[in-house]
Amino acid sequence: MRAFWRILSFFEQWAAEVFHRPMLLFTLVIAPFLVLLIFGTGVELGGPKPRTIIVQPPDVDYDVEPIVNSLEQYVDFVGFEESLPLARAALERGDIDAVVVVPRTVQGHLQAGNQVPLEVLIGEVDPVRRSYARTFLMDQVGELNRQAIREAVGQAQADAPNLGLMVEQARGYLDLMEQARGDVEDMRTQVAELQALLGPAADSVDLISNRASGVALLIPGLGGSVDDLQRLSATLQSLQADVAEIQQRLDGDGEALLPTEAEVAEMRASLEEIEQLALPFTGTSPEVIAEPFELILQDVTPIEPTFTAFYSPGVVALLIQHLAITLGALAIAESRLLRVTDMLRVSPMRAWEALAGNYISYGVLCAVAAGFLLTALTLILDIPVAGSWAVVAGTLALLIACSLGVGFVIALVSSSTQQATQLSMLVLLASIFFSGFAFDLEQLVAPARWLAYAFPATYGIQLLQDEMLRGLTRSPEALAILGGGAVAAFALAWTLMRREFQPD
Amino acid sequence: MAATPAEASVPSSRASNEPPDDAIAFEHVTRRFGEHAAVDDVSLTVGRGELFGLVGPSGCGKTTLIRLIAGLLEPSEGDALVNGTEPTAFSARERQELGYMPQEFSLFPSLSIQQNCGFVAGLYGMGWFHRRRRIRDVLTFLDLWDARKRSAGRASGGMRRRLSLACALLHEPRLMLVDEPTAGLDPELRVRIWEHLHEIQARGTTVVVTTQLIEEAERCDSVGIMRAGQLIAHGPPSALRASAGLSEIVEVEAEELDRADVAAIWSLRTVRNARLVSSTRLRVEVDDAEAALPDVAGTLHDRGRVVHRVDTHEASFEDVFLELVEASRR
Repeated sequence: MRAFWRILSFFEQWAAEVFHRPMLLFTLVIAPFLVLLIFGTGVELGGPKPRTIIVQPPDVDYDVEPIVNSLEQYVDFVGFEESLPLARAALERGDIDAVVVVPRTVQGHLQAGNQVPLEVLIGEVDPVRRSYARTFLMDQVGELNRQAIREAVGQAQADAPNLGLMVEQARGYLDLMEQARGDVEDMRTQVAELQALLGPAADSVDLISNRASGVALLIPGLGGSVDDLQRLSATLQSLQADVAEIQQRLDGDGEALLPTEAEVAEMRASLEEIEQLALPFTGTSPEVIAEPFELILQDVTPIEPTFTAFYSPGVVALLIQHLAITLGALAIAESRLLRVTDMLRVSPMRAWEALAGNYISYGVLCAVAAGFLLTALTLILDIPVAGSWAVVAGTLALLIACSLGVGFVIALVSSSTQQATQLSMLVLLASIFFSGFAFDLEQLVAPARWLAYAFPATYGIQLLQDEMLRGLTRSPEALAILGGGAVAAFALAWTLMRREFQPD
Repeated sequence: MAATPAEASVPSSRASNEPPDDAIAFEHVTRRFGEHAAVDDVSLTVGRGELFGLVGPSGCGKTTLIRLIAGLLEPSEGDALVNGTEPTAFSARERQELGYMPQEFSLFPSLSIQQNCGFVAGLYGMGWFHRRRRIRDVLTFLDLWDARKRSAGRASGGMRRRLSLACALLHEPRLMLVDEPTAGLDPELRVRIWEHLHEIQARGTTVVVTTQLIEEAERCDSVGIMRAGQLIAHGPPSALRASAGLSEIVEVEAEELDRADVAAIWSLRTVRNARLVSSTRLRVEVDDAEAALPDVAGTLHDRGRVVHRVDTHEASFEDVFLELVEASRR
């Protein structure tokens, strides 16, 4: 029974201490929540948009506005500049974050069968934001390409009904040519009509084919469609050449050579092919051709994982670990500083009783802080617990026990309060980097990953995120490791405390 | 035994019949810190129920000796027994018998006087009901009850010393170790602290108290005088006074004095010792001041000295201490 009162004396002392120092309660309970709240509401996903200047040559032969409109959802346009060196100088000074150089001509590049260069200069030194800029700019160039394909295909589709009509009319001229066999003059008229019919269609299809082939190089899946377009153009030009040759024979100085049946049959076959090749452009949506794959994203998580929801369990785990380690370390360090340790050593207090008393006192205090954080998380930040509250509570209890043990060990191996405080802060700093909070554990390699597994928060973050966001415990072994860590930390702290209680 | 215990006023549930063995028995105990012996070959016994005072200048080893008795330090050499057990091997039960008031304030400044007492009572396994009654009694005894809600950090130096004493007293120990309870206190508070110590002793508690104030030693039953880690004398104040050979002092103040005057006084049959305190003050140790006074005054008059003032008094314990320290050097 005396052991019970001895253990309880620490709790009484701490309860009185908290009662006498309301600021302590604020520091321990309210302040962590404020940190969480500011984190939850004060961080913008993806960071600020890069400040961007567009370098536009004075003699551009197209409308730049669509490019600007499509880019501005990712960047913050601060103006236009004609001189690339001036824009580059502003970038190097850090006045802006990116420069987009639009080409002088688009048609010229496409007609030459080349891609249109869209040059982007970045001056960002933050590797995360550099990676972010690259990803989004590449995505945006892809979007521009898809947009060009959509336009090209749309144009082809707009022309496709004319091709059908043209084929029908051409067949009519061929019929008339067969009927006019022997009448050279009538034949000349029909051939000239046919040639006049084929010319504009061949030119139009040729232009569309050139535009589409330019963008198709970037999107392998579109190769087939563009090939068909090129075959259509070639067939039209071939037919046009055949008709021109017949026209030349009919218009020659010598005896007019009428088209043979075989020639007419060949022209009919060409028209058949033109009809077949034009069909896909009438029956298929430009969207399908431009983006043949459709992303169907199904979210199977029980709650919508917002940025705040994803990081909040990590913040809670880090705050609780830090609170427990700091309290544990300072409890022992303060006892030494106030020379209370001598009082304990002279009294009947045993090492394990002193340790148990501290575990209970600070454990209750940390549990209150954790309960307050969780309540505020769910009620104020509206982050639900998708899984079991019991697992969440158990995780936090083990996290507190393990972290308190680490704190006691830190204090018992430290020779001063300052050293204990510095070590506690060092653990916090390392935990932020290596516990899986800032970087995914998969991104860490040895020895950083080994270090990660030494922090209680690593397991706490994993367990809390799974239970709160996924609604399941993916790693029950993490609970076991956390429990084992708590036992190991207690055993080590007990050994050190027994040494502390030995006569000097 | 010089001290006279006052009437006991602290309620106690323990019987006053204690075993007759010594509370403390040290045999040639030495404690070294590196090469330095803070306690050097100390042999000491303190009887049960005794009020034992350890006196000596700062740094002479008093606190180290108290910490050896409390089991906080391990002897480098020698045998130490406290209540029949080696202090470093105290069980929880044996620690229950020990009260310790450290030299420095070792409690929580943010807690009230009463809450600090509650914490220490808890360390000794006292339940809530027992604790409440006991804290009230002890704080009343030490005149702290009215200030019980004051935070220890805002209490005066005297209150803090009495709070430390209260905490050492709460669990009714058989042996109390009190390290410099009167250091830095005004004379009135020092007297009150000593009254409390006598009252505690009167209840049958053995009290070991250290002090730098030599005259306080006379309030103890038994005194140990320490110098440079060694216990140079040990016994009741009267015995120490006798061993120092001091009984009464004649203090002479004259216009001018020199070594030849001292030699002349020294040669008197009734004088045990004489020394020049300054060029105008002479200190003469005698067995009987009344008998020696005419001889001393006459001798100086014969030597042409103009005597302004002559005082006689019993040798103080400070004189005893200085004599014993001087003797130990010789």
